[in-house]
Amino acid sequence: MSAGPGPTGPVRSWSPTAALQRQDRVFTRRLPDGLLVLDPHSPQPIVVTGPAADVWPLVAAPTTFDDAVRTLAERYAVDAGIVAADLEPVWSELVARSAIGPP
Amino acid sequence: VTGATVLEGPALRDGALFPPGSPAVQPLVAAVFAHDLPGCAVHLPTEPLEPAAWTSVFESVHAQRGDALLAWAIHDGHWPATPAQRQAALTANQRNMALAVLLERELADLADDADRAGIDLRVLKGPASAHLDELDPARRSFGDLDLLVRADDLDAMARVLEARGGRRRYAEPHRGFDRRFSKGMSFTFERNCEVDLHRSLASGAFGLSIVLDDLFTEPEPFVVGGRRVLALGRTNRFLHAAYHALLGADRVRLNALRDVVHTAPRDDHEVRRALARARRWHGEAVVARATRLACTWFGWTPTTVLDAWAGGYVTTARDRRWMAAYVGGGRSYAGQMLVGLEAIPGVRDRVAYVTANARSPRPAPVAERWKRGIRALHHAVAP
Repeated sequence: MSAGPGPTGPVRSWSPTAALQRQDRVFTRRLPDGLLVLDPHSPQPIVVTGPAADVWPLVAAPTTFDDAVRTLAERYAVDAGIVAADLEPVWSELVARSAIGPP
Repeated sequence: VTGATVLEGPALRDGALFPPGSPAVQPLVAAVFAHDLPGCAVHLPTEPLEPAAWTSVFESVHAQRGDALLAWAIHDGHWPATPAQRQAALTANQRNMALAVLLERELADLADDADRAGIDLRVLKGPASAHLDELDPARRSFGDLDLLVRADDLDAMARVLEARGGRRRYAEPHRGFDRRFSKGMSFTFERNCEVDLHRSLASGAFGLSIVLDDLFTEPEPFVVGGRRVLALGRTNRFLHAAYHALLGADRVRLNALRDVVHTAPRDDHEVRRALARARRWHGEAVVARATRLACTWFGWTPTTVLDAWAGGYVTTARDRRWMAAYVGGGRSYAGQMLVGLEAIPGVRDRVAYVTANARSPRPAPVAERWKRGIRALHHAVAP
């Protein structure tokens, strides 16, 4: 994956055009208000709340960040820039924890 | 049922076996566990409960690991709640689910290790019920892992658990006791985990009467974190649910009673198979009683054949003697061990059993499991 500037400026370790998907040994639970995600190594799960939790079904198959933004922006009828800004830290966290990765 | 009247409501029939809490809210607590079950009819509140009733229901549901059911009932609009009640339910559920995923990760790793050691493993209760029987695993909380192995694999699996940092809660009372007579052993870990390793599904007479080879027939697979594991087959899950509901504690466990409904025989063929196995295990009285309690507390209507059988089952003197050691106020570990003698053929084995039981441990305390549930959420973060 190539690195590039994120919507808010900091360098990120993934490319918005690289297709990623769920990895094995990731454990999840739906919550009424979000999603719990536990990767293979972290001591505790993370909680993804709000519409960003909808990214998890999308990454069942290889999906790029840009595609996920487009899908969620259409679903919630929200500007793609706003969705990208909200989704970026979630996507980064899932990548950092190896919850999503290359197919 | 309204918030104003709930504390004056009648307790359920057979309420002495209902989990601890205010008898007046028993129907509401039962409703939490049964409102989404097929074939069950319960009354849900029509407006948010007043504080005292809410506290009573919430605490009872929490103690029975029903937080997920309450949280989803509120979320789905089936259970009216104030914003504070809703938040309390969501928070409790999040803690439970955090622990559930941690335990499932442990399960996947344990399954790998068991495979490498050539051990045939079956997953009992929590994760198996969550993935095979619930509409969504998100509706099932559990606080530990329960694994079943063949008696000959007990020692090998114990070594696997110890290699992963497990420490046996109680030492084996007598060399060879576990492999021959025990329900199993319990392991705790420094990390947030507890594993109960089973040889059988109950202690004492009922556990000793189970034909252990039956437990390994017709396994059913499910997947956690991409890892395939095996559970008991549906018939065995039904029988185990009945055993666990009725024999697992002095009061009935409502999640297990929920499992009775989930895994109940669906047609006459399945009923005949389940009852034949229950008879072989000398467990008909357990299955009949658990079935009747689910009917009474959950408003459940089982298949006609099962309903008629459970309603008409006449307990034998042995049933009453054995059940008295497990169910209600007369429950005692010593009593269970004593009636266990009746299930052991041969004088030598009986002598070995009695000798070992003279040094046998007490049942494990459960309070630590709740602390683990809280720890599981401590570092969970919202991005």
